[in-house]
Amino acid sequence: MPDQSNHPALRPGKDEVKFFINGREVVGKKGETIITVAAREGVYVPHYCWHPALSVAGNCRLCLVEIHTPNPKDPTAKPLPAPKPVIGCQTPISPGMHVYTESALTKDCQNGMMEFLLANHPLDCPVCDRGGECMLQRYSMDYGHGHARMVDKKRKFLKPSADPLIDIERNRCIMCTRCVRFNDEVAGDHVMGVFDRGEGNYIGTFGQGPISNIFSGNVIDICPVGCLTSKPFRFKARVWELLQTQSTSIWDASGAKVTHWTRNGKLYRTTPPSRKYHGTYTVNEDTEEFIDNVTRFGSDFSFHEDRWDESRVRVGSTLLPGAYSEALKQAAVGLAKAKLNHGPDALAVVVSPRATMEEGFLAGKFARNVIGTENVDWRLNVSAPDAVHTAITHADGDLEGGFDAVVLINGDFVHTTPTFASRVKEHARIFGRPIIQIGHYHDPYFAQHSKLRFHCAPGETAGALASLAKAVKGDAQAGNLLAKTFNVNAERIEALVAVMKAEHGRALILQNLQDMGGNYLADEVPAAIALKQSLGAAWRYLPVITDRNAFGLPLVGAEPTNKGEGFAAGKLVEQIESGRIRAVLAIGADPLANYPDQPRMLRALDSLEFFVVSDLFASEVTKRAHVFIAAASHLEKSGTYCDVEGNLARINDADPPRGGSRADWETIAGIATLIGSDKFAYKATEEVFREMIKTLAPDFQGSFKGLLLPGPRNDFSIADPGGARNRTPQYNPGDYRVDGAHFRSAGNEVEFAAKTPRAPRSVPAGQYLLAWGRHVQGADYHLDRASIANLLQIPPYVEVNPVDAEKLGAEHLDGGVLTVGEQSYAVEIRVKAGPAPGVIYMPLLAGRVLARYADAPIVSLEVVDSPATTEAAAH
Amino acid sequence: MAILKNRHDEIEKLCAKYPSRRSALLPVLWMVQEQEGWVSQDAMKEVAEIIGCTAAEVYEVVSFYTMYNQKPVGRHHIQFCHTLACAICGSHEAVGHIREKYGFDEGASISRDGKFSLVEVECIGACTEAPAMLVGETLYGNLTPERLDEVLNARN
Ligand code: SF4
Ligand code: SF4
Ligand code: FES
Ligand code: FES
Repeated sequence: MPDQSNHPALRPGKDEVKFFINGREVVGKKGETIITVAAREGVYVPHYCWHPALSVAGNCRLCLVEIHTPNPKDPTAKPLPAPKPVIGCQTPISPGMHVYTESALTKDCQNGMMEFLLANHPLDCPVCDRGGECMLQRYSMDYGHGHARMVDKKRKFLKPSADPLIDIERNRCIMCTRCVRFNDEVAGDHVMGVFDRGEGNYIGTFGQGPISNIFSGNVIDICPVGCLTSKPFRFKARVWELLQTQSTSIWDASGAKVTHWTRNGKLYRTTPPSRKYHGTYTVNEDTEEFIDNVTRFGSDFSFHEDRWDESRVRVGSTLLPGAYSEALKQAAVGLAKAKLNHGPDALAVVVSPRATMEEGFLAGKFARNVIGTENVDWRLNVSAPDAVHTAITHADGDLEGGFDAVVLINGDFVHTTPTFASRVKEHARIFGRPIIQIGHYHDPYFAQHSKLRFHCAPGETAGALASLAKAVKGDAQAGNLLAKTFNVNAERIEALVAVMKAEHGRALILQNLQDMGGNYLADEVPAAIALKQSLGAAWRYLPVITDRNAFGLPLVGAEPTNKGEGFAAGKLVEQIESGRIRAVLAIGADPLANYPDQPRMLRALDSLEFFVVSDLFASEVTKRAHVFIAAASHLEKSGTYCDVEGNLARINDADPPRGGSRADWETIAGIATLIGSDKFAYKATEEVFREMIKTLAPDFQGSFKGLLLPGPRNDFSIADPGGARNRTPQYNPGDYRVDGAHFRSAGNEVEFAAKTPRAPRSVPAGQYLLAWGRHVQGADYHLDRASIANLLQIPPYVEVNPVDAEKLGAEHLDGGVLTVGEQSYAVEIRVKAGPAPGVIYMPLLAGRVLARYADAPIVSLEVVDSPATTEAAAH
Repeated sequence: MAILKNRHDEIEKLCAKYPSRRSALLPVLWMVQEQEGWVSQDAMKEVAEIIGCTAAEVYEVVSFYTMYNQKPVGRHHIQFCHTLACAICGSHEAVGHIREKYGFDEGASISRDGKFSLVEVECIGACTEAPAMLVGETLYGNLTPERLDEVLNARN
């Protein structure tokens, strides 16, 4: 739960409640429950159904505690024992109350509840995947009996589960309903339920269907027992035999932390960070670190058989495997020759949006100091690079301390930055904060909490933002116009404006840089920043984007500083075709991944005079390289990432690089040294980090507690980055935060005036405007090679507004054929209130299905019922 | 929208009675059951869409109450009480009698000719007349084998 304790509206002293836990006086806030205050005071109350991220259910009764309350007739007399023990997770604290968590009565309750919970529980521990991190095992040791008195036959359930990722073993379920509440409240999809009643109670999904949301994997950790377990990890290893490496997600720009569990060079599972908690390592117990399914299940791509773990050099028409050092030498010679023949500006360095900050920093340093060009860029997948740059350099928002209201502009937030979106929603839910959605796509994930919705036609959004800014400034006419245009209640707009203007109000404007229809961003980004600027200091602006290190790479100079005419990775083809770029060094970047016209890109790459690729896999791109350098995967190297909120996090190497591969930072430094620079003599990423931070924030004095070296050496000092490594995590939640500072690119503080918005496009009857966005579950050349890629990637689908669905005669999950110009695509139709009427939304599946267009294309959609016809139309 | 296609106005009237649409769940399910005799999975999906919740939530409710039939029923649906008072007064024997005499296969809930369906339910509030049963919506108490035959034969 976001900490609101420093919210200006909460004055200290007000609402304080003094009471006693085990005789010790403690202070809590009015409305808090016994268990929360006890946890804060270091007193452990055992619990199953209570979880800090979820609503209180109060059904496991394990948290029963004895309480005594002051005698109402004579407050000075001895407190009176309550007639019955109470549940700590739901009972609010009251002044003068005495709570006993260790008394004989409390112990008796715990013991009794454990016996009930175990009455029907199978003796499965030796074959149960939860063994070793199971709360039922632990509590049995701590609070249980040691022997069973149950003589009757145990209840048995059938085991069907249609979910491809999660196994259900109902006999082990203790009916805490955490999984049901998690899906309902956090994942926003009440897909699981408690069915039947009494002794027949069981957990499941409707019609044994899958748990189909991007957060579903979290039920594995949130289930306190072994009822919900991971199918890919099933029976593969016992958790205590695995080595834990703390790291961060390379997919989700929200900056989710993870633990990779490995043994003998094999990755067994990825989970939210493991913590030492009451004696055992557990995952997601009393913490709220959820991760999306791509992060959880997608990390094993580096073991794919396509992996090239030896460097290669082109001899004639073949790439011959060879030593890393030889490949580096050839790369250095080739790049130096290209520079000599065509000048430095004929060279370009393209880095992956998933490169670490160290790699981005070295790429920038290499381009500028060694080659002498500004041609370095990470924005391969971005179709509006200037708008994205403006947005990122003006970001100043975060969720620390919460918000009073949030404006969401145009986008599928939950599939852009899943965990960040879940935290925004959690805050809105717990504190009842309003969400306002503006744009031609509204995220259905936030539907329940959206108090105001302005469903614009594409192109109208910038204008709506400008009117809103005017309304906040007191222009009543603008407010009325908004109300009329979007058919919303004028009073609700007024109420919202009041929140926005409130003196202590804190609010966020979140903008999705998902390319919702191409170059609309060019208008919408300035309009959003202008809205923020008109609202005063308490408002914050925060754009989100799927590219993991989109916020870190501009910060360290992996972007050209000359705007306009400068190099842009998104326009690589044009620049090669015009002869401007003749040699390319691609660092983990796949120019093909998001490019619509694949043959054209391949022709362009073929025409390059010199092409060096550092990557993991054999692919159409790497096969065209003159020099291929085998790169280490994210499991085999270390480095830093910056998330959308400006927090840094580290990936750490769980294993040494496979075969002859090397981390990209070594490769860049190696080539630079061979070309003749003496400024690239690094021995470890920590050294690069130190130099990078000095360049980035020369005056930075904070500590990097826990960031660089997980283990006993928690305090990283810039002066001494070395030190022993111990992979066993020894830190507490929160240690990963970089104290004191968010890292933000400095925006040149321009006053933005919203431009006159374009008029909405007119669309012929029966046709629609297509909006699209990139999606973490979209195809990606790394995710393609995860062992269960087919389960993680989404099928091609379109979302259609219910109004349009009715006109089309389409029902949810019907098959359809989408026609864009000459091309037809088979799609699944999902009826959702997300897109505005007249708009069809489709996630961009990495160029495979849909191209990037300069403007929202006009498309038509036809409903095809039978999936067979749909298959056929795909080709 | 197949099952409740023509009952839009009735449903809207029902929903208007409650502060939130979800509260109309039970009566809308009744409408389905009155019309179809039972609540199918398709019906649950449809009700979910009408009410604005998920199919899992509808199924939670349907599976909680024995009064909603999750399987098709016979022309006459018998709900026989098997709670304490009725059990003491011979509900088990009576159920056995029905199963045997009216053509129920082992484990089946519908008779072979589809005329009768039978479920055992918890107390139906007629303990003073135990053993008791409901046929459709009509209550019959003080059931002896003779009286049972009399009631059921009248409908055979
Ligand atoms: S859920 Fe826990 S207690 Fe039950 S079998 Fe699995 S490990 Fe053992
Ligand atoms: S499956 Fe797990 S989380 Fe869900 S109710 Fe059962 S024990 Fe609780
Ligand atoms: S934790 Fe309090 S009842 Fe379950
Ligand atoms: S016990 Fe049968 S009606 Fe009450």
